[in-house]
Amino acid sequence: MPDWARTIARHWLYETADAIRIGALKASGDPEVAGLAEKIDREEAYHRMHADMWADRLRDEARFRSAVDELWPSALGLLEPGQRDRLCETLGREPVDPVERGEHTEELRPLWEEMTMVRRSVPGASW
Amino acid sequence: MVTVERVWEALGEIPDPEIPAVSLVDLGVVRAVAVEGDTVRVEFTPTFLGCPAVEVMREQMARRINELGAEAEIDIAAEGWSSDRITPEGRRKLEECGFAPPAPGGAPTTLLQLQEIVSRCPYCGSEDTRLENLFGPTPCRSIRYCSSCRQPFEQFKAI
Repeated sequence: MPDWARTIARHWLYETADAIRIGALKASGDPEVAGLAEKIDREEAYHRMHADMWADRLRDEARFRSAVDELWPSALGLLEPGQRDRLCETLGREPVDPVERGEHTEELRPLWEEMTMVRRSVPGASW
Repeated sequence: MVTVERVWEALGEIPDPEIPAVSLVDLGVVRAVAVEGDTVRVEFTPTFLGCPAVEVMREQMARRINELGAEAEIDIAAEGWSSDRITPEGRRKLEECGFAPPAPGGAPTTLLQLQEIVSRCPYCGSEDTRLENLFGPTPCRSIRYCSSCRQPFEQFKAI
């Protein structure tokens, strides 16, 4: 059963972690990377506001809180090891063993099959 | 012989694919034009990084440049677009066709800043309007509501 509170918890954790990652990219020595990150950051401001607005409304809901607890290890895994303390500080949470990127759940396979079906059926096609 | 002025003029006649009332030049997505022999180099910056109209705009610009008898090289500029790049003429045209132009000063960083933006209704001119939804029909627009004439309208996002 899809759960709105869980969707918002995931969205909010992702945006909060992503802000730390984009902040690091903005400080890149490669001007192209830094320039893109600066532009992405301005667009992301709207995504963060959207996530914060909903998280504020749901903050005291039991379903939202348990979803945040459940997804917290995945949120930590979004960041490089050196950036994870920042996320703990930002959210005031204790570090746990992160779920590292690349550890996909079984839901990914059928989704990937479907999303790439057309491209795989006619390799090299352009439209 | 193609001149820089001719190219700007031609690009200024290309309507934006999503808001045809404004041209690509009005919108400020054309950053620079240079002519080198038979080649016209255009530096271009889409409004949003994931803008789905990028390829359409690129093809339209190339076609207009080809019509002037030159080869087109269209590069995406590393420096990002900001809504402050919309020209005064572009802002006037947006308002005329029912879009509130973006608030000046780039993207707000907090919800409070966003909510404090005063926006004039493009239909009746009232400033008694509120944000209805941050996310409109395209990434660059949000939806506002005018409490005076009770008309929803779209606003170009400040970014």
